Amino acid sequence: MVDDDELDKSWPDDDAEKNRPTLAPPQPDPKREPEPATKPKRETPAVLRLDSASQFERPDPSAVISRRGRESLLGLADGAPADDLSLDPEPSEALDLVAAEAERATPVVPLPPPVPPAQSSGRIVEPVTEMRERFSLGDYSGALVVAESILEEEPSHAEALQCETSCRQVLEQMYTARIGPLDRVPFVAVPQEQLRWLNLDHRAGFVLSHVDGNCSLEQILDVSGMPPLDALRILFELLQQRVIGFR
Amino acid sequence: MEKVIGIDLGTTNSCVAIVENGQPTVIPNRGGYKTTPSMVAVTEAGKRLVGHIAKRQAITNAENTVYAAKRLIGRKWSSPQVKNAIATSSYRIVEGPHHDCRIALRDKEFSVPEVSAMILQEMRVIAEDYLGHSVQKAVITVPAYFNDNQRQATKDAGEIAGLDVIRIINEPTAAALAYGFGRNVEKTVAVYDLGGGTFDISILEIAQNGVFKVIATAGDTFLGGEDVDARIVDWLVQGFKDEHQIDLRQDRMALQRLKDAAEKAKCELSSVRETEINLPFIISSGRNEALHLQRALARNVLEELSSDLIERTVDICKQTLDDARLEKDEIDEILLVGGMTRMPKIQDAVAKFFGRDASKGVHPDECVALGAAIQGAALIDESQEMILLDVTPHALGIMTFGSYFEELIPQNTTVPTSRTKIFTTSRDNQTAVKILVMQGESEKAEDNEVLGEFILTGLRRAPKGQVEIEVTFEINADGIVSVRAKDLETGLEQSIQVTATSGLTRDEIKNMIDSAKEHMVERRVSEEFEGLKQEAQKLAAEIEKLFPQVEQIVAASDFGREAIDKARGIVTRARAAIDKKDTAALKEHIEGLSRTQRMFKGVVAKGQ
Repeated sequence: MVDDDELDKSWPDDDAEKNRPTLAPPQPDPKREPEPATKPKRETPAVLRLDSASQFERPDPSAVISRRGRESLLGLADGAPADDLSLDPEPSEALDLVAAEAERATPVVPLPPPVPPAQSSGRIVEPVTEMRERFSLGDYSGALVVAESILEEEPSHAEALQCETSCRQVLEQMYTARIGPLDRVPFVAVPQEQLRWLNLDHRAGFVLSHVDGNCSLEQILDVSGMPPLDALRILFELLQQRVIGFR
Repeated sequence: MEKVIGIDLGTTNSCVAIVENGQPTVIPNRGGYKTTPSMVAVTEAGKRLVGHIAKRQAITNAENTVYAAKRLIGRKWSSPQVKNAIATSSYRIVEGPHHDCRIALRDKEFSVPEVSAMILQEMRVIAEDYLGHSVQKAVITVPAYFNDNQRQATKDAGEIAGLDVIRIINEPTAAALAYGFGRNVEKTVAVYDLGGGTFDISILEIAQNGVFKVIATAGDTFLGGEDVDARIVDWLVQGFKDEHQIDLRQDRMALQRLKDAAEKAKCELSSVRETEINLPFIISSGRNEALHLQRALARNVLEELSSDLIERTVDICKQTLDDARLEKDEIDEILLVGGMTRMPKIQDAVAKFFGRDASKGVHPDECVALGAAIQGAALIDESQEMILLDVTPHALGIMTFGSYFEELIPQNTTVPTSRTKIFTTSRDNQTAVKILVMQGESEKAEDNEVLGEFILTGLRRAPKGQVEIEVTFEINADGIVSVRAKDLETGLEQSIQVTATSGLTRDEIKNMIDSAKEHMVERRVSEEFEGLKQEAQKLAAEIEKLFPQVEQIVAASDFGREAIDKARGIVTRARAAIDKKDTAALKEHIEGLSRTQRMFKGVVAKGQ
C-alpha cells in the first residue's frame, strides 16, 4: 500500500503518475471520515503556487488529474481491477459532487492571499467575497455561479472574469477526467420509446440527439454549440444516469 | 498507373470517385456516406470542421459555418449574386482586396477558393484513405453556366488543396459521361439536376466522336432540397406552435434538430408513404418542463408542401426548351441528377413534362463524380477511346455601339480555335476604338461578363463606317484567349491576352497552398498519433491485466521481479509519451509494449 504522504511529496514531479491515463473518479476512503466540503485546505504549499497578483489563477489541471491518477494507482495497488474504479454516483450529485470531491480529495487550491478591496460598485462587494471564498474552498461550480452573476451586473469586472475563466477551465478538466478519453464513441443506452420518460431538459435532449453511435465525445462537444463546460456537464450527467454508455 | 480522382464539388454536397479495374466507383467517407456536405466551420476553439460534422452544428454556430460557397466562387464583390448571398447567408461576406469577396470566420477572412479548397482537401483525404497512397491529379466538375473566372477559381481551389486539376468539366457532361459509359450513345439528352441548393437543366448532344455539346442550360441557384426541408420545418414549427404556443424558431438548438429531422424525413418519404418525426426534449416550457415533438408526416403532405417548388423546376425546363427551340420529342433521354430527384413526385412531374420516364441508368448522387472519374481515367490512359473535347463554356465577343454584344466565338466551340470579324468606326473622325472583351450569351453587353479591355489608337480621321478594324479572337490548346485588333489601312495593331482570374494573386495562392499544406501535415500527424495512442493504450491495458498473473508466477525469482519493474517502466513511459503527444517516442514505446505483451502472454501460457 502506498502511503498518501509519500505520494504527496513525489507527486508534482512525478511524470509517471501525472501521466497515468486511467482518470477514474476518486474513490472515497470508507475508513476515513469525509471532511466537510467547505473546509479549506491549508496544508498544500508545494502543490500549486498562486501568483500574488492573482488569486484566481487556474489551478494546474494536471495537478487535478495527477491526484486522480494517484488514487487510481492506489486502487490498483490495493488489488482492485481498473474497471472497478469507475464511480457511479447518485444522479443528484452531479457537479457539486465533482467539486466537493475534488476539494475533499485533492488540496489543489491553497487559501488565497489577502485580496485587495474589489474595485467595483459597493453593491457587489459581498458576492465578490463569496466568490473568492468559494474558489478558495475548491467549490468551483459555486464560484462560477457567483462570478457569472457578478458579470451579469458588471460585464467587465476583471476579478469575476478571471475567476469565471479559471473555474471553467478547472471544471472542464474535472469533467473530462470523469468522463474519460474524449475519442470514445458513446451510444444511447435507453430504448427510443423510453427516452421521453427520462428527466432531461432540452439542452440535454440536444446533446443526446448527437449521440448516434458514430460521433466521438470530442465531435459531440464540437457540434454542441454550447460552452465546452456545459456540454461536458451534460454528457457526464447522461453517463451517470446511464442514458448513454460506451461499448 | 497514376490514379486520377473525379470530384463533384457541389453546392450542398460533394462526392469523389475513381476508376478501379476499369469500373468507375464512388469512394465513401469515413462515416460510410458516399456524399459529404460542402460545409466548412470554425468552432469557438478555432477548430476547423468540414463535412457532416460541420453540418451538424450549422445552425448553432451559424455565423461561422460556410455553406454554398460555390454560389460565390469566382464572383466579383459587385455582382448581384454576391449581393443576394450577403442578404441570405448567415455567415459574413466581406469585400476582398481585388474586388472579390471573402468570408469572415471567427477572426480570419478566407477567400472563396480557400474555403472550397478545404472541401476539396477533404475529398482528397477520403480518396487517399481509400487508396492508401497520395493522390495528386483530379478532374473537377462545375455547372455548365460557370464562366472562365469561376472555372479558374475552382482550379485555384484545387491547387490550394494540393491537387493538380487536369481538367474542369461541366456537371451535365459528367452525368452524361457516366450514363454513356460502356455503351455507344449518340443522343440528345436532358439532364435534370435538382440538388440540395440549386436546380439546373441542361440539354446535351452526345456525338459518337466524343463531343458532348451543351446546347442549352438554365437553372435557379436558389432552389433545391433545402427549400423542401424548410417547408417541413415550417410545418413542424407551426404544428408545435398550435399545440404549445411556443415558437421553436426562437431556439437554435431546437431549430438545428428540426432541420436535421426534416431532411431525414424527406429522404425517408422517397421510399415509404409515412414517417414519424420524433424529437424528445425539443424545448423547455416556461415551467421548466421539457416538451417533446412527435408528428407523423405523410408523403402526400410533403408533396403538397413542396408542389410549387417542383412546379418552378418544370417552368424552367419549359423555358429552356423554348430558348433552345427544341421540342420535347427531340429529347431522347432524360437523366435525373441530385438527391432530390429520388422524390417520386419529382419523377412524376419530369415524366409528365417530357412525356416519358426518366432513365434509370445513372445514380442521382454519384453520376457527376463518376463521370469526372471516367474523364480523368481517359485523360491519362491513351488506350481508352473516349475523348471529351474541350469546348468554350460561353460565347466570346466584344461590345459594339449601342451596348450590344457581338459574338465571335460561339458557345461550345471546340478549342483550339480562331475567329476573325471586321468592324468599323461608329462616329465621324474617330481616332480610337475601345475593345471590350466579353463572355456570355446575352445580346445586351451589360448582361455578360467583362474579361478585359484595350484601346486601339492612331486611326485615320474619316467619316464613320469608313475605317475598318479587324478583330481576331484566338483560343490556344491551354484555353488562353488572345484578342487582336488591327487597323486594316495602316496595319496598326493592339492586342490583349485574357487570363481568367479567380480574384487571387499568385502570391496569395502560394500562401494559401502553404497554409493548407501545413494544416494537412498537422492533421496527418494528429491522425497518426491517434492511431498510435489507441494501439499503445490497448497494449498497456492488456499488459496491466496480466500483471497479477505474471507477478504470481515469477514471485520467487529476482529476475522475474526485475522484468516486471521494467515492464511497468515501459507502460509508464508510453503513457508519458501519450500525454506529451510525442509521436516519435510513442512509436518506439509501442515496440517495447508489444514485446512485453508477448513476453507476458508467454509467461502466463507456460505457467498454466
